[in-house]
Amino acid sequence: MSKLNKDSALGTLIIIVTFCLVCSVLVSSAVVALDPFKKAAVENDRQVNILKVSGFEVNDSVSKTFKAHIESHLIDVATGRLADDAVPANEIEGYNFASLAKKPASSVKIEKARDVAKIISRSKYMPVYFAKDDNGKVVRVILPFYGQALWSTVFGYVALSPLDANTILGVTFYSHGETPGLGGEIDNPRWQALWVNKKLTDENGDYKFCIKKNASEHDFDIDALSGATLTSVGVDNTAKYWLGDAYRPFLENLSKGEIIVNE
Amino acid sequence: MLLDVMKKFSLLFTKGGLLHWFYPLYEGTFTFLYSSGRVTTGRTHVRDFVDLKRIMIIVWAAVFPAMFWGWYNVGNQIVTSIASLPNSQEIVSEYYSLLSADWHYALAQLLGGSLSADASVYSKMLLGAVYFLPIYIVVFAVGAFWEVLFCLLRHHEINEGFFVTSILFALIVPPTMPLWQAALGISFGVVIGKEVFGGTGRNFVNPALCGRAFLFFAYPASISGTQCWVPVDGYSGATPLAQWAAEGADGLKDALGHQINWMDAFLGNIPGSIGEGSTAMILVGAAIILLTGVASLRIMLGILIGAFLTATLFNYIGSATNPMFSMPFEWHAVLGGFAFGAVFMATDPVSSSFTSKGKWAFGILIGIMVIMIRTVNPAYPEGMMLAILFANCWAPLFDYLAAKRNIKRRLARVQA
Amino acid sequence: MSNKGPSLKETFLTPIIANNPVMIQVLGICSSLAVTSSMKTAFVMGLSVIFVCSIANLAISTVRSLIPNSVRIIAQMTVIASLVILVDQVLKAFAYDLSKQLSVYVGLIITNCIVMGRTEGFALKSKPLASFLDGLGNGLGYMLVLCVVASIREIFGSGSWFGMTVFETVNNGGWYVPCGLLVMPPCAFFLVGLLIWVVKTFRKDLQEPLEYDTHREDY
Repeated sequence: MSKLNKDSALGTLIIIVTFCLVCSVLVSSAVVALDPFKKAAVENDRQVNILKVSGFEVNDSVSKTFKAHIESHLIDVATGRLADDAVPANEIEGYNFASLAKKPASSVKIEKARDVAKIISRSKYMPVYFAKDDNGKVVRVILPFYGQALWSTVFGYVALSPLDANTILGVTFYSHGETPGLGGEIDNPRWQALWVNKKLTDENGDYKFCIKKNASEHDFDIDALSGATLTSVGVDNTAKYWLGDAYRPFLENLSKGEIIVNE
Repeated sequence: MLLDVMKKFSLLFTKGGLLHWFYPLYEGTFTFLYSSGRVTTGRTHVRDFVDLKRIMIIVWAAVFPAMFWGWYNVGNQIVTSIASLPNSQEIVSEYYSLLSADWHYALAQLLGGSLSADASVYSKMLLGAVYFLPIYIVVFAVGAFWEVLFCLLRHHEINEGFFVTSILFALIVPPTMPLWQAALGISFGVVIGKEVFGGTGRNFVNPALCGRAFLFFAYPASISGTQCWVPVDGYSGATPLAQWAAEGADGLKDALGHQINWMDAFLGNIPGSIGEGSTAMILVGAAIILLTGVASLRIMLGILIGAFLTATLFNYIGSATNPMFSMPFEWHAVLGGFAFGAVFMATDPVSSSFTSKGKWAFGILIGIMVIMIRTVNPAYPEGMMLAILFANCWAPLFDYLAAKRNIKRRLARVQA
Repeated sequence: MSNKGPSLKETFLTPIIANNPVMIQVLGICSSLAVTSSMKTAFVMGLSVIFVCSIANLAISTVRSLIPNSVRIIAQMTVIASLVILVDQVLKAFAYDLSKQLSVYVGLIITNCIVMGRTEGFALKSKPLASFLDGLGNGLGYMLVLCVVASIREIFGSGSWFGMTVFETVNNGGWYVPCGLLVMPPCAFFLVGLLIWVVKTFRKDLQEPLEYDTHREDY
């Protein structure tokens, strides 16, 4: 065979196809080989964030601590009941409520008047995590929540006491795009510490938890972040929607003892 | 006599002289006292003693009414806010301030001022001056340092533009601005806003606003927050613009909870940056710079027209959730930095447009942008600074288009 | 090939300062704004670009006689894109937190003009070793600027360096009031500009000739 002319149409085609084949084999084998590591990294990240509000120290490995102390369930948001049967058992871990909220089949549209968190629609089911101590007693109930703040959607977990389903025991935000140093200060542990021991509702069941300037009521109010009014308002609304509205049935069931948490 | 001495010394400073490195300093002093020794040598010849220095001094003088009112108003706001606090009796007592950390109060009281609700006008002005002058002195010293440094390094003459920049800058920051932040702000304004482009006359943004913008983004807590406008511990009051943005017209309340009416805002009985409070006093300044021909009426009118149209448009559109939509034009014009910006900032001859048509477009663009930013942007209740800086960037383009149009029209006339 | 070209040492060293891709050629600005708010991200981004740039140069140069002229850009893109995906996957698997912070900017190395510029401008007509060194040098030059900018931004914007506390910030109970402008992307423009100013002040040979003299006295 005579030497192939690389600039002819056929030559170009052959070389480019070879090129693409070599590259795609390279890329796809890398993707396949690294996939387990990637999945583990994503899972690890989620577990780290949940453990942050669970109150348990990570001693040896994240996944071991998570397995030992955290129990994952799904709840049907509307009824507030556990709904672990709604999806295959292996999908409860890492249940991706954010992307499911955008699919019509798995989501519920939120009425405009109630949608203070400005998320438009939410997943029918939400994950909930029970943090158990060494004796298997549930010490915290961890709920994910998210909503629109000033520039971005803020995602976080809030931990509540299972005793009254009303006292906040911890909070963390794991994804947001607020201005660093201002709204970004929602990440500041000193501010998150303010949430601890605040109550969601008063004894009449009225939602009173609030993030505002010049916090006055000791049991319910948190000081807003200075210089970040709108981020504070956004987080306040997020809490208002999820803790004061969407999760209400679940929290009421929990406080009435209708959700069995100590098996 | 002084002239003779100065002339003698001039030998020292000219090329080859002992101190020729410091020629700019000599030149600056000389022209401050006498008129410029420089004569045009090119084909064009200018015979006018109104040089840059005279222009700058006129502007400098024109901000005085606003500045003095600012002193009074800062003092007045402090006195009223203290009166609204539960422990006001304790604060106004003679020795509280000496014991408290705030040296401003102590200094004012030492100088014979009073903090009680019945304080005299003199007391209030003194209190205001105690807040303003340190800021001004720091701004002036730091800014002058950069100005002289660049002049010495680049061997050009000291430019009086800086006198105006420093006083304007000191007037557009809140009275509570920490001094080190003021120093950083003016440094940024002078170096990045002006000197990197080659000094006065070559900058494309207003250096004072550039410095304020730096502070606005770098230390928002001290300039855009809600607790920075009245320097009283424990008192937190928003600016009227922020109040309106939160609650509409009914939200405008002073420290004692009284409703603020339009006349209060026009005269300047409202918290805000030191110089921007009183629209009335700013108008006095406007009259001075307009009558002397320093500032352009076209730009000011352009801003008013642009703002009027945009504000009215938003009034008609209306909004259930955003109270700013309902703010009528006459309120926009008296709140925040609108008047100060329109009169002293936008008319800066260097960073605005040069051509008449360009000036109209420049002004209208500012007017539209300021209302847009105030109304639509969720984070910033104030918009004048950003609107002017935005229009500064457009100014050369307006001039280019105006010149193009002119050329086209004249060509058509020649060909006809 | 004639011997008149630059030596290997020069090929490697010139792009680090004298012909720095960011400061002198003003390429790759987009990513240097986005990832320089902390040292960690800037450092990892720098390493990624060094890797992509040098390997892409090496690969393209090795097969340069085979690449048809009409599709050479596409061929280069294919190689670069593959390498970038590789880097992205590795980061996702082993440095998930960092890859979250770097977000799209690792992927955007594909469009980083430095990489493409070197393969097109250098690797296509040079030998593999020289190309590899050229890629390495350009990557290092990019990383150098990134690290300088990121150091300033992180130290004065967040009071830390590589996440270690340098100044205790007010929000954490210390004395330092961080400069908020420095954590915003646009400030990297100022810093890159100032960096160019500093470098060109000390290296007069890098200054462009004056277009006209602004100190003329006869206007």
